[in-house]
Amino acid sequence: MATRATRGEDLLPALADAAALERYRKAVEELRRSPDDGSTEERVERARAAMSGLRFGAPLTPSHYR
Amino acid sequence: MPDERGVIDLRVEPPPLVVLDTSAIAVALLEDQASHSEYSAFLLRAIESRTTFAYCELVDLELAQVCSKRAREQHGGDRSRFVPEGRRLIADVFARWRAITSQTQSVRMPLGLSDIPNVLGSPVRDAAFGLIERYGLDSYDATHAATAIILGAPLVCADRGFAYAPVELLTIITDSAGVDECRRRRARS
Repeated sequence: MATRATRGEDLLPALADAAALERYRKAVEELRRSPDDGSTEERVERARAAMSGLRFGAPLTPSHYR
Repeated sequence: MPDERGVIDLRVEPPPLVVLDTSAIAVALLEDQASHSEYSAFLLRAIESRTTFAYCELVDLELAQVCSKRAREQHGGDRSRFVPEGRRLIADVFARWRAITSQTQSVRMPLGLSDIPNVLGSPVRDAAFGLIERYGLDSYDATHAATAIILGAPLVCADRGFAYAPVELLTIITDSAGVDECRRRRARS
């Protein structure tokens, strides 16, 4: 990561402020939400159910979301 | 799984942290899309391996727009019909999206950061600006790409436009049909 960030400074000036990056990443850590209760199998099954049964009826294109 | 030109096939073992783009989320949610099975399988494996899902708050608006535009297409622009239908779709899609993100550790990343104490400015916004200015990305693509770059995580995406982000900065995880195309785009740029 350090190597990538160092190389990245030249490619993207926003990566040059290491302190700002660190503050942001720490803030993001604090925003993390824990998963719902349940076993791994139960959580996988709930996610599987959430990704089943919904149809769009047409090919999705970038113009739908951008 | 090869990481050629920073583009990885979705069949990869999910890393500890990934950033999800709207295009990947929408395809995972909609079972009649061409690569649905690849994206849904990746997310299920990621939940199984306790991967953290991160996503920019822009996802909320883009998912809502997917629903609204689809309803508009179905009802020929008749506002009295497409607005209620769009609202119904939005409720369904967001319930499903919440059901996915709540099965593993997740983080919704704010763009502006004004609601986070002790943090001023936004590296994501600055990085997105740089991606537009230096690499010609569109603003929305730049925002999702910047989210991944700032976190140092790969971006899971169905949209091929992310290939224009520099390979040194952004690793892309995408479907088998998109891997070669993304690599070709990166080879040309």
